[in-house]
Amino acid sequence: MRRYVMVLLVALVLTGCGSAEFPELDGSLLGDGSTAVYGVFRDGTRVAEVTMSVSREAEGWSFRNVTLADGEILEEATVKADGEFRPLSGHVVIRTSAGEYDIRTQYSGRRVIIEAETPDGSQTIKRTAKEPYVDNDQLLNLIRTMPLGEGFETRIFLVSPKTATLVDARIKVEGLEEVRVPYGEFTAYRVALIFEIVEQTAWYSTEGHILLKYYNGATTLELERLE
Amino acid sequence: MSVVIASVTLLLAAVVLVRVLSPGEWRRPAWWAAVVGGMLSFPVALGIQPTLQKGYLVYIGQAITAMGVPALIADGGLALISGIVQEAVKLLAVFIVFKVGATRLPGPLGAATGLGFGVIEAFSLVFLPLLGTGVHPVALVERVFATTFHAGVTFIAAAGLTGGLRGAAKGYVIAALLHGMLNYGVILKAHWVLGLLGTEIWVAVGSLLTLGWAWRLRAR
Repeated sequence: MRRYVMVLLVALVLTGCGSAEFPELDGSLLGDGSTAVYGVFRDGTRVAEVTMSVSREAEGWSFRNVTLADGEILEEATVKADGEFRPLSGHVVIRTSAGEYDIRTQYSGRRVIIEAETPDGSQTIKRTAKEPYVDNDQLLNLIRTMPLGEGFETRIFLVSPKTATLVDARIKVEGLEEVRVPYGEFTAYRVALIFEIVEQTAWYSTEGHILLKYYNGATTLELERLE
Repeated sequence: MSVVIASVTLLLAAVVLVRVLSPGEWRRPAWWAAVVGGMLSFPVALGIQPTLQKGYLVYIGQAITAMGVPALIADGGLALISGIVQEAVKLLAVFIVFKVGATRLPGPLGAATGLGFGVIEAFSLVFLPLLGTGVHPVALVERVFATTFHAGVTFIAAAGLTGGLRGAAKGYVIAALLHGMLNYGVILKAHWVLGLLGTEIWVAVGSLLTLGWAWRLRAR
């Protein structure tokens, strides 16, 4: 009986141990960086604006996402990554009616330390991530560096400091589509983002892998400006 | 999957559980009173449990981890609290129906209470919030196993009522511990030890073992 229990426990742990490799990434697709502004639409109404920036720094990359609504910043997220896009640190500030959440994350190998200042007090969470992983706020820009094409599929773990969760994510090109957004009309890869049991969709231009549109099940982001 | 299909599937699973744990008993009014008792138990437990868990985190969990106990172990208290609270509330409902209904078989009443609790839990936490988007098959399977667990574990707790106060206490402690162990799968997921599949396997195996235990008790 004890043997069966041990086998079961090992099997359970192994189910959570992916053996996926970090996908081959092409940083040249990002150039020296870019800033893209997206309108956030819910039921056809523009409810907010998201600015996504990526920039090359001395020893790596910086990813920054800012969400604005009614002229106020609701959320600011910054991720610093090394030259191979592995996250080094993250900082998220979320402003809600309940107060401000300030979340700082340190990445060191597989070790992840999340320190949060919340209206309910401070909290420190230490976890060991599974490889390969990236910070959630890197993902949409990081996909731009992947070898998108017919049949492309990869698996990666997402660390979400806001919820202190590790999510098994699959990224899969489902095909080509013509996409019209305020910035223009493009031929795009339709990319499925499968986060365990939640599926979202993003569209990347075939030329330059620009994120054109993103649908998370409730709201849609559409590219309006690109610098 | 639509919420209607998910709901029908869950109710069909509940019918199978009735056949396994309390065949024939469902014709008695006391059995249906126990189902309603289980349904009413859920909001009561939901009103108590989060406050206790928050208190545990602030006053006990942090102190334990400050003493060097790994958070993975300290957070086990959260899982145990869910067992302590939910099994107490369900057992109280069974006890009331058992006494008022003047039945000699508390086990099937426990299964009925667990079924009522599990079905309302599934509707409140999963099905109704997903009314607009639909239910993922994994979430449905999890709810079927969770309802199976509630029926089985409350059967075990209730079976102790035939043994007086000592038997009731023994049944309750076993049920609370089993519940804590099942919910520890969620703690393992929160600590990134188990993935989604591992957590679901944990819940499924725990539920089936509990059902098997209850079934053996019923056979006696």
